[in-house]
Amino acid sequence: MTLVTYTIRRLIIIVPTFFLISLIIFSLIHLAPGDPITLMMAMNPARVNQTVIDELIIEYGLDQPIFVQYLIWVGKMLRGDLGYSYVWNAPVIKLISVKTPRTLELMIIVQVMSLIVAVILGVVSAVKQYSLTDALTKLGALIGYSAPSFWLGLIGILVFAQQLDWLPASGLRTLGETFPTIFHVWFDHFKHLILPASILSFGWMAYLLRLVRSSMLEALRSDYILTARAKGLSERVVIYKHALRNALLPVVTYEGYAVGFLLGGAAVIESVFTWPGLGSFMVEVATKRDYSTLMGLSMIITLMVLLSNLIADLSYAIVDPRIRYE
Amino acid sequence: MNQVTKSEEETDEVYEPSAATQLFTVWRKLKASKLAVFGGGIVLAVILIAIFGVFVTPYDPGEMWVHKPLSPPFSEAILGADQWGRDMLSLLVLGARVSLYVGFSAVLLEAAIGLTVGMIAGYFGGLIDEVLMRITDVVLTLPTLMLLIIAVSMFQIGGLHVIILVSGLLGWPFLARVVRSEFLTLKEATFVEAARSVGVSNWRIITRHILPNAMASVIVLLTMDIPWYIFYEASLTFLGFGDPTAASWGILMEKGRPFLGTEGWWIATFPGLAILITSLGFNLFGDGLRDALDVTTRAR
Repeated sequence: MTLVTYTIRRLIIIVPTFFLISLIIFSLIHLAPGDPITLMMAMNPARVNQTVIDELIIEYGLDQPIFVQYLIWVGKMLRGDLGYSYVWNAPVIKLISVKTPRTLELMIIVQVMSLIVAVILGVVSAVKQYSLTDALTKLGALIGYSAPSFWLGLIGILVFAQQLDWLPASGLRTLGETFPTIFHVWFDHFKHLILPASILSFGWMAYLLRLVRSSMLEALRSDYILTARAKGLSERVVIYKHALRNALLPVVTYEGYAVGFLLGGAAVIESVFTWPGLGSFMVEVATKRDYSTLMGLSMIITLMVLLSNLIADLSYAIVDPRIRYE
Repeated sequence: MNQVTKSEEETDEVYEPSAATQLFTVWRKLKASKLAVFGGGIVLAVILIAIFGVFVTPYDPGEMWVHKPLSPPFSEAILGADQWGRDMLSLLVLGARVSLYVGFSAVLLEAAIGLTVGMIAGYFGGLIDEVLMRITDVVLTLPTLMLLIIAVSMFQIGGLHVIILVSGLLGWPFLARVVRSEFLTLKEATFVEAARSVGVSNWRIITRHILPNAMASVIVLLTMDIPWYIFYEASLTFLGFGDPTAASWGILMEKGRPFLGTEGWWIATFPGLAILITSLGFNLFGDGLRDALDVTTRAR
């Protein structure tokens, strides 16, 4: 199978997946007790009057059977219309576009941080198996995936913000302060980012680290490493050029799950640190039961997860040609 | 250790070790790993606490004003008291019950679906395998926490059971894949062919001949999945989507959060520590079990 056919096949699988998820989300929201209109009225009595309700009923086809409602919603979604939030009084797409960069920024930093630390520590711990470094690294990783992230967040706030007063506890920037230059603004922003990013990457790092370590151990035991050593190559070349390259292959697949994993983690961590991204927005929207925003937002998140999985699959097929012949 | 496994495999043809012998071998290997014993000890302790703890604790966990509100740990209450003067130790003990209930129920649901799908797909193969695996792929990509948030916020009644149901319904794909690949290899094994040639039914081959051989990886995977479900419940509760009637560790943390920096750091800290210790126990035990059972699968 060539790369092109492989890509096409993966793309074709994404389409039914997307619709299935949209169906699940739609039914979850519509089969639940309570109807959207009553809720909108309760949330925003000033804005929602009888005329608006009549318009809404027609717009969303609420007087139609449920599958027609689904089709109407999907149709609107495919045309880029995610609906209007009566809680925030703004189009859903606009709300999402404000929050997305905040989450992306957090996720990119988390990814870079976890990847660097996980690869370095994973390699060291595999090369020096059973050493003290290895034991400590394993212990750290074990705590990383055994500790609930929101609890680590709370402890982080307690220690670094409240006791030591090194870092701000929450938010995006220091409120009510004026900064002389743009660099001060950036620095202030960066300070707010450190805690949530470190806590979020700790859990992910632990998984990556375990993966890098075990696949590195496996690589170091393989025949081509023996050959490379027999050829008289230096240990550095053997480890970094021969073993590490192959050991990193599974990491590529794992990176595909990263977006799903981190978005879930972001919902929790962003809420703990009141970071105004997609995750904390999701929590807020669900708490207020803002149906149209909830549906739009979850479809956008789903799309992000699906696309990142696709990218991971494709990169894996590029770096490891064997996968295409599966 | 490799040597041991090899010689066991070689003698497999002439000598079939009894179930008790096999269990003993696993136990011996497990015992050799200090970390696995440690993890197993934690798991056992938490289970015992969850079952019998409430009969032993000095105070009724729900009763308010048994202590001075916000009494610190090691004062009149061993682990302190919360803002309503409830005894923290008693609350933590009750929380173990909720967390383990969620963890074990969800993992049972995961096992039921994952085993069924994996067995059918791996054993029968062909079109049915193709269809089941596509479904598995789709479920695997579903963002679990997001769907949990939607489900729990929509169905506001019976929060705990919605969490168990949804997380179990979304948690099985990895298990299904593992079971399928075990079945794919095992169905070609000589003993299965032998069973088939004497006319043993498919059902019996699946449940009596192949499944016991695939159980090792299943048990390891399930053990290490329990902390996930405990996390999901705690995270959702912490975010405010929990079941207010269930006294879980997550609720304690949510209620204790405002007191964190000021006069009651222990209210939110101890339940988190309890979750950490519990999931550490399951992870260590699972790791040790994996080595003892000679399983090569990775946990997700």
